[in-house]
Amino acid sequence: MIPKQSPGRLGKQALAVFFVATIAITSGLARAEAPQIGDKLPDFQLQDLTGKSHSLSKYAGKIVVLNFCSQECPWSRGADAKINEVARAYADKGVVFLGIDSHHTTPTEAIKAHAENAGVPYPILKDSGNAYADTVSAQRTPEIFIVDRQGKLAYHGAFDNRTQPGQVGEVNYVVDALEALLAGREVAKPTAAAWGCTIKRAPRSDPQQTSAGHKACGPGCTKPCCTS
Amino acid sequence: MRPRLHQAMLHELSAPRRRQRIRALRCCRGALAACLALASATSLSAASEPTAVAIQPAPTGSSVESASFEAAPIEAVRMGRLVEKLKASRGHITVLNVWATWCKPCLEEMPELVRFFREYRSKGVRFLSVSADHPDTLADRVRPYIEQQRIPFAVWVVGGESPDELVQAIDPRWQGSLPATFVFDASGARRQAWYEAIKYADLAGAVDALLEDSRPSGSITAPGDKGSVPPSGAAVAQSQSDSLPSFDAIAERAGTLEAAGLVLDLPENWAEEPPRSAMRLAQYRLPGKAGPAELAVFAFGPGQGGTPQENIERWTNQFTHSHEAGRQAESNVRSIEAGELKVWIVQTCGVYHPTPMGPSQPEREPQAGQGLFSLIIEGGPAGTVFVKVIGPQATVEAHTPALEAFARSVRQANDYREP
Repeated sequence: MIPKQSPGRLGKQALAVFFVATIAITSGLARAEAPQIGDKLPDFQLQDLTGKSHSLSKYAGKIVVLNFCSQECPWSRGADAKINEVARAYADKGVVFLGIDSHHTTPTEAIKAHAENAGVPYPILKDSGNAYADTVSAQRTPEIFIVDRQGKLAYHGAFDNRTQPGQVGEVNYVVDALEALLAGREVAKPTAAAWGCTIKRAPRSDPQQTSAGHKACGPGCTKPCCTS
Repeated sequence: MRPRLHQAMLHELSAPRRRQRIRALRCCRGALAACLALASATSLSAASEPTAVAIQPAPTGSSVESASFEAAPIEAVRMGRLVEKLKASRGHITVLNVWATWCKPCLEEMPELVRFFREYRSKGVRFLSVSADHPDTLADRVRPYIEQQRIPFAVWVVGGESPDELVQAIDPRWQGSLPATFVFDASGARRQAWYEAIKYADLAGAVDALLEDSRPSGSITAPGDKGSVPPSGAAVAQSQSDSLPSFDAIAERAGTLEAAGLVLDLPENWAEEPPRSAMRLAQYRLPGKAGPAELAVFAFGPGQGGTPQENIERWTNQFTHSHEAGRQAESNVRSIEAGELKVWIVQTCGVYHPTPMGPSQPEREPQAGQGLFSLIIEGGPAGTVFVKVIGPQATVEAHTPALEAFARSVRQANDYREP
């Protein structure tokens, strides 16, 4: 007897369960759920490397591209040249580019040195304590959020479809999204996953995620011990 | 139990070979002669591997380790195969770690994972190491790192594609950030996820809780209490209830083997393993009380790999009669039609005389009580595909009905593209 799989039939049902279960589980965590396409993106109040303050509301009515970036990450650094090029090209069309560095481990001076070195033409904002990364659930670098003129999330994901850090992808999701938004069309591919570096976050004091109970038990302990 | 074996009907094989479309093959580019040599040199080392962990064995004792360290197998695979592999791991607690040589925190956590692998491989826990490096960098970056760090586990390199398929299969919230580590329970449900470098103690703690869960009796766990351990300090770690679907419920191609433009249905209990040589498109372990048999899939491109007759002769010549030394074992050769495909089925058993691994390699010991079940599939878009199963005769016989069904399930892949 050969056990036959019938995954297709299960797929939709399973995904529905998955959706519900994910919401239930993540609501138990302090971390916010990622905004969905069409949601109003939460505002921020962050300083750039010269100390100037920026907020999303300040650019209300404009298309804004947020690039969660990190000079520590080869994948993010590797994309810089192309992102710079796109930022320059679309600045004339009224599109605002902002970098956001949420890496807890990166000092502002290091970001500044890299920005000058790489010729980044747009402001990079320091997201201290990764507060805004937590708010919008940004996870990796580079990770792009594009907000339309109504302040709604129109694209979230990779910059392009590169498969190596220094490569330039054949498909540029950001350019495609910007072209669509400028033409008043819907963004055809509003999300795209990609490899990237996890944002290094500041240690948390969320009691749900501290190690107290766990470490006291150590490996090999029984489950009631660990969960009590 | 023992199937009746007939004298080989080799005259059947003189039929003209099918015209094959000329397409490249995704593996084995170049080195066709070497492929061919290796195809005839399937070894039985799988028989001595621990049955719980479908990963190339590595020495465990530290003194032995330095003397006999073998580089772990490294293989570039398509994302779809990786997802299938995850599915094939159902029935075992499975840890999936995704990393890349360009990811510094990934390299920092590697010693923790090596320790975990060494300590948990004997507990039936599977460990899947997935590199997001581009396959083009396999020789220059990935392999040197693996060898330098003496990484004992197999590594699957998938960075030629976006993580989309993996993300969809296991965790839509993940999106491909590295490092990332996931723990699946034996039902295939994701129970833990870390999107950052992890510590041995966190991973071990989470897996211990699942191992405790899976004990058949004497558990003091209340029903429904899945109590997975919150990992320490993990900023975005999450626990999962087992009401989540397992990855095999989502993966579209679960339960199939796809190789060289062909698709075959896999039975549940064959465990996919990292191919032991780069010449193999895929490799599976077929479990059995007498020891596991090994299934290997080869393809060398259109017009390559020799005629069915040549291969059948070479394979059957490797087996001698169990009781009469030197006499060739009886064999059974037949063919079936599956649409445009023609499948030769070759069975024999007796004393197996493995071919040396290469011209200058030592003779290998004959092994008594072995069985062979092989397929030669002609007419596929990327040339003839060879499937060879060798192992203890009892194991091969026990899997014969499954192997027959496997052979009959063959069809062309709908979406095969020239790589």
